[in-house]
Amino acid sequence: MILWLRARRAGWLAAAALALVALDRAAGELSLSVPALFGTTSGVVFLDTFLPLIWAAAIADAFTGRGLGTEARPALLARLPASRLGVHDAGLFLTGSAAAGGLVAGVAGGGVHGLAAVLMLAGLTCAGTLRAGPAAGIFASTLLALLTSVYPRNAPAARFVHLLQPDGEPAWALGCGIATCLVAAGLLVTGRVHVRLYATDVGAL
Amino acid sequence: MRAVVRSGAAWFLPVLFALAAWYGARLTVPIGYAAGDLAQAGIGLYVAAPATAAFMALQYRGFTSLTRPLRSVRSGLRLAVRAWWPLLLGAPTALCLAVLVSGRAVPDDGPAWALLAIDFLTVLTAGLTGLACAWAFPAVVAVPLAAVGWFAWIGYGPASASTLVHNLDSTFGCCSSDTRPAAVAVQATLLLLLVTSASIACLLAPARSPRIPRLLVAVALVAALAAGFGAGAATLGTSDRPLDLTATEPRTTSLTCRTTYDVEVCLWPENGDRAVALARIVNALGPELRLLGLAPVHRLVQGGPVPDAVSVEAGAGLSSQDLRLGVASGYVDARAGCRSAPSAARDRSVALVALLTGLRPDDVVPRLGTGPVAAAEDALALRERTPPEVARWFRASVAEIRCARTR
Repeated sequence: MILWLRARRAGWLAAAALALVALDRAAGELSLSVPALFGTTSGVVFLDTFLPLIWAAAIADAFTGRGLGTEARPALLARLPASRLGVHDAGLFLTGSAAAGGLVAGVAGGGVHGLAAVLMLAGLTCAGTLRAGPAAGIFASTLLALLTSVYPRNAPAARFVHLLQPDGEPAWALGCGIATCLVAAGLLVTGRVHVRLYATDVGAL
Repeated sequence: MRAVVRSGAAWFLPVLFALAAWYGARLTVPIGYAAGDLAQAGIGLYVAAPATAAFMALQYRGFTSLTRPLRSVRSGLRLAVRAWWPLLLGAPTALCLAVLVSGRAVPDDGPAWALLAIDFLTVLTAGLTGLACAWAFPAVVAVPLAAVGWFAWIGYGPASASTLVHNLDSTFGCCSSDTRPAAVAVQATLLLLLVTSASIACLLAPARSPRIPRLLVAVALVAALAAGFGAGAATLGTSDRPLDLTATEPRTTSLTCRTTYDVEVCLWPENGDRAVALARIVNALGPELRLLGLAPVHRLVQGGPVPDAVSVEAGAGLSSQDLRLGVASGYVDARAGCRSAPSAARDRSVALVALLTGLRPDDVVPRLGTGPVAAAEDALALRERTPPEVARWFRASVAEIRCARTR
């Protein structure tokens, strides 16, 4: 168990969760202006929209190389059966993400949308990491945060596109976050992943 | 061609172009002045700069380690440019094309070209920053750091109350037909981008630099950014021109003048086709003003208050009603002797002249409100019996007007 926790960099995961909460409390309300993208008035994007990327980056780092075959796993885990490892990983991922999201929602005052943002970005990053490598996983999450932030409020279905923003539909965002996390957990458990070896190989460099 | 495919430019650049053009087209309300239209369309930077930084960081990951054996004989910059030129040059070009398309404008003067150069250099610098981030940090940190850093910088500018930030920012919230980007702000922004990108290029350049610790690269990257900001801030600090939050200055293009119906109409070159329509409005207004004993209009000028002339707006997006209301506002400003600040007295004075230009009360109410229009209608009801009474009412209203604070 200790070896497994070390291989998954549990310490870094905990540090990322604490850093996320601390930064959210300290600078989450820092506003950025997106003038006139939102119709005739200035729009505001808060920095806390992007802070869950800290947790997403830690998830990508923790599950780097997870999608590879037994022979390419970190040496510490080579003797563990794949199925048991998958259940452990899925448990760690879901528990950790729920805890990080709960801290953001409760301690940092992020509410439901804070929890949804953490779950959404964690799930997307984890699934992307398993399929195409950690860098591609975090890139997908970064683009999601960026594009939803600048999507105009008066554009079609803006409430549903703003998955990570406070003005989005909370129930929809939370549902999407939970669904994405479950998909990622499913990939972790089943190990049914296709890996581009090049991407995974250099992803952690 | 191989580099285009391997660098990811083959799919990334079309997506970048489409996104930037969509954002630009959504915002831009063409005014016919190239610098103004390009400044509006430059909003595509909100997507292009962070996305390019993130994508460069994604693609460049591990590159310095992979090419380390080659760098004993070749420059790191040469290797990077050879592998990544489709992204480094393609992304800025894609943004500039998107700005031109969504702004529906072709640069025709210095400020317009300067704005396009700033757009190009901003995305180039963003790409180089992403590249340096991928060297300095692990990919999972570099990708979000580069993207969020650029988004925060571009978004923080308009939200900030600092004149320094506003004048260094790549997005210019200007320009109306009458203003252009302030020359000193353009110089400072260009210098910031040039120094930053040149410093990062120098960081990459040396051959025989086998194992520079990542921490040192990160420190050098911060130093490159600091050098860029320092150069830009020094340019602003040593300038004797006053800085303001708009980062604009009055436009200096020569006006094109034309005399029609005994009215001299001087407009910006791109609005020349509006001269006849404006002259007709003024020609029809003349007898109404004379009937009341008010001075008629002989000269219309675009681009700010000019003595003995009425200042008007004539941009491409203005309707016939807007033109009439613009003439009315300009006439009131001319009588007040300055650009007037919003007030009830101003609104009812403008409403009176607007009704004299032939606008119906229903056309004026959405712009000025019910109260001023009702007051103007009451005053005009006296026109048949005692025209001088209307003139007295108008002069009394104008006398209450206060001047707007001008720069």
